[in-house]
Amino acid sequence: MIGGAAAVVALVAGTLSAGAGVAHASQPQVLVVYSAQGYDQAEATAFQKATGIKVELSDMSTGPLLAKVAAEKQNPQWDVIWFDGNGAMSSMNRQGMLLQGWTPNDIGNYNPLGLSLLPPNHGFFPTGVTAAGALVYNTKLVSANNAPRTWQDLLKPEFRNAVGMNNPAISGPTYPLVAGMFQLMGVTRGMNYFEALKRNGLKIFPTNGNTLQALLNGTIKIAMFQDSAEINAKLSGDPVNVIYPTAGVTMLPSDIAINAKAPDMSAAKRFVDFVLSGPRGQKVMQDISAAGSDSLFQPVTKVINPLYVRKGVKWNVVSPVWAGTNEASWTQWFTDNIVR
Amino acid sequence: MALHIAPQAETAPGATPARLRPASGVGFRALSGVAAASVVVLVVLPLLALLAQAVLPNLFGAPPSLAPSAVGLKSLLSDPYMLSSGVNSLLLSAATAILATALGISIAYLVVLTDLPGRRIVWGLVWLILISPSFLLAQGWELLLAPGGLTHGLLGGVLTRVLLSPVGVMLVLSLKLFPFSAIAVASGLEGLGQDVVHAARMNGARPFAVWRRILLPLLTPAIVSGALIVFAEVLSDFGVAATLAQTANFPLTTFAIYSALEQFPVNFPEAAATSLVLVGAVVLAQWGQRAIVGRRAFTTRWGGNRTLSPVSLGRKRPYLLAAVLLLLTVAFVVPAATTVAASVMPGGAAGLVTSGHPTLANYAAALRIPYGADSFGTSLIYAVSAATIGVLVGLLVTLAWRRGRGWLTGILQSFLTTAIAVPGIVLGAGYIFLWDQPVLKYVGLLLYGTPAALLLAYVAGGLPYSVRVAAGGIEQIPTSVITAARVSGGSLLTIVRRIILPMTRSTWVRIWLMLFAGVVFELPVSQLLYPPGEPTLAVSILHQFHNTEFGTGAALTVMSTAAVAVLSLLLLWLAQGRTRGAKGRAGAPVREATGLARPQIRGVKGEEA
Repeated sequence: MIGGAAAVVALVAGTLSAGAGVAHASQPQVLVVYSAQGYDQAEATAFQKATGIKVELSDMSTGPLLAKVAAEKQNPQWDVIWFDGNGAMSSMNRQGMLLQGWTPNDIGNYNPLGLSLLPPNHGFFPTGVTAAGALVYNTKLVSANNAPRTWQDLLKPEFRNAVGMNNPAISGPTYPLVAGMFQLMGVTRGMNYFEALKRNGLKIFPTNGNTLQALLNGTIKIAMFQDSAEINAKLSGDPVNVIYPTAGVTMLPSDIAINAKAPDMSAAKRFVDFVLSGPRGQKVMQDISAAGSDSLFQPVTKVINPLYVRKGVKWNVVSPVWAGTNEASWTQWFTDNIVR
Repeated sequence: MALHIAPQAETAPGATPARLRPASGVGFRALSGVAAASVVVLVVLPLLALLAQAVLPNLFGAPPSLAPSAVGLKSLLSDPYMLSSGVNSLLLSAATAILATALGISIAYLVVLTDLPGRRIVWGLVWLILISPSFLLAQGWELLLAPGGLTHGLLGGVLTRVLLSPVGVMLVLSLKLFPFSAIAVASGLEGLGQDVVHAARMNGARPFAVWRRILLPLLTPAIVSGALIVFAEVLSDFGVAATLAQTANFPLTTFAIYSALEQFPVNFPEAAATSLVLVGAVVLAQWGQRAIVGRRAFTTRWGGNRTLSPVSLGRKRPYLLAAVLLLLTVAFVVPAATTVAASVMPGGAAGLVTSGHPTLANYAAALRIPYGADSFGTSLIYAVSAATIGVLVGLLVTLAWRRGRGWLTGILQSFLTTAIAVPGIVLGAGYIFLWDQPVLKYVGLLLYGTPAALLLAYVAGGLPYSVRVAAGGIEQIPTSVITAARVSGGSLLTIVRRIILPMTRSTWVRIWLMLFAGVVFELPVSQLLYPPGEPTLAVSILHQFHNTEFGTGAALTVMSTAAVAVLSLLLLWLAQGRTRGAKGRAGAPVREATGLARPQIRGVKGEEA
């Protein structure tokens, strides 16, 4: 029977892998990128065109990306990873999984925002930032004069049953929004704030799409979620306007990093170089027709201008370690006290 | 006589319930070996690779170590959240299995045995629900149940509150999963035919007695089999667990597993320990199944049953039709229409509610974007390959297990059903652990990252359905038929080719379609295993939603679902057409309605004595 098993394995596997094996052998340089970014495909295509290096891109959500990287620990296949939120990046950097001490050619392109997000050991590189949550209101239901300016404005009686947000247990960028509020206000006052919002009729939806839909169909008048999605709705012609509360919004950095054991280290370095390089690599990330809302990031380099100017935005930077350690318990607190 | 048919019916018509002696001979031993090897390689090893980490957390560490640790199990037992998720999952699965089975039996009965008008359409819709991607249905439900959604608008907050609860979660899952039960039961009913019902009625049995004493006892294997699939499906469901159930604050085990896997550092031991809860539940359910079904024979394909005149529903006809249409509308038409509407609305990120005239711009975009149409082609190739291999391996395993009742078969069977109950991400991670082993490089078998690994994982994901449904079909063939063939000197191959395949062909068409549709829209395994640079359809659709291009994502969903639906219905229709042509049994209205044929074999009939 064991002989039979071996035979089946050999037969099935041999037949199927033959083609793939040959394909790999004939390509001297193949760059494997795992990414959760909307612009990853456009960037990969541009890089391949510019360098002739074949890019094999695995695009997926951040969660599966992390599971995939962890499951490959014994025999990593990836050269470069690219996703939002620097909690997991910091953790990988501390574990020594990322290439450290290497400096891209165009590191001088970073603007002050970019430099402020660059870890001293160069374990990963910021490529853009968005706000984990800004305010967005339906301009047909709320006049510009009455629009909220601060987080506290959402507690006003006139906005009773009119405010919505995503569930942090479901939507990726929503936990950073909650953690950011806790950092901004202090944990206890932050919890009090969400409880007060709930008393004022806060509505919780699963993800951006549902919340935006509710905003447009008038179920709610004001919402808070990732600002790139808010701006995308505005630029697509939806009747909405985006507001950055004066106290500030939580910054959600996008980071790119190279595997410390990258199978193709030189191609990986060239790719990161390319992404941070002049107008070529940076400009591709702003191809909104290909990348949708992810293109609406705030640049961290001097070589491009934002597609949309965030007026009067004050960034709050949340400590990734602090947010990460408390993620499970605060998400559960939110579920128990706010979602219900 | 008819009223007493039930107690003996399980054995009487098929003459001998004779369990064949465990077959001997080189052919059968080779068959058993290959079947066992396939199950071990496809399902057992990958699952063990992950599950073992519940007690061997560094099994695949760098460096690997066999040092045992109970940290994963401890965190499971000491965390009240984990415990309550486990209890919730069990209760939800059991309740959903009961409701979905009740729905499935009713629909199958109405379509197969009665004169319900529009049976063909009803059955087509049941299939559409089965093959539709779950995200298409889930999306519609979210829209319906969201605060301010349609149900809120129509019926006020009360209904929304009722539905945003464990009961609502159960209803939604039942509506999505009842086709599994309906199709399993329809198979059984077709083998049965209407004769038994007519006979019982003529002898004065009331409808209730017909059900209690004839139909239910004879259909037990099909009913239990369908219920078990639904039970396991609910255990492994993530879509509803991550949306509706979360909103209803009804934590489920799959969500806990995903949480353990989608953080960093990833907690494989905890995910493995939590998965063991699901495994335990399924093993228990299987024991339950054996206790109910026992070792009786369920031969129903005896030669003489005819399906000439359907059971008349009488005055209840319009009401039952209305009830069926309402069910299908709620389960399919409304959520599907929501996605179709979103796909033809212009620009706006939210699709559905943006004002403006309908447009096909989203469809143009879906065809233009990189890996839009391509990814559909990729998934179609995977689906055809995986469904075909899945049917072949399923046939192999079913034949081998038909008689082998040894302990090894028992264990392998349990593993197979377990594979339905663990969420896709667990199977996918198991495949990475198994097929990304550095040592495989030296023997040319480093399959991870190639199409082969994804294809094998698809086959593994479909194999449990294949074997489970096929076993039901093959159980219905009278053992005496096969005994006769063997006595007459028929080889295993001949028996398969001349008896088993023709008598169960419709079953295989159904299995092929289930596997095919399952693979076309598969997401969790695809995300983890697709060869970089060659995204599958669901990966591509998710990418659009991620980019808040809901219109494009919806257009891609609608196009691919429509294509798969047309393909599937065509295939069902062809299978039925060929049978009718070949056998000249044009007078079988039921077969027309269901498109599912029950070919008769020449020369083997009249066993009812």
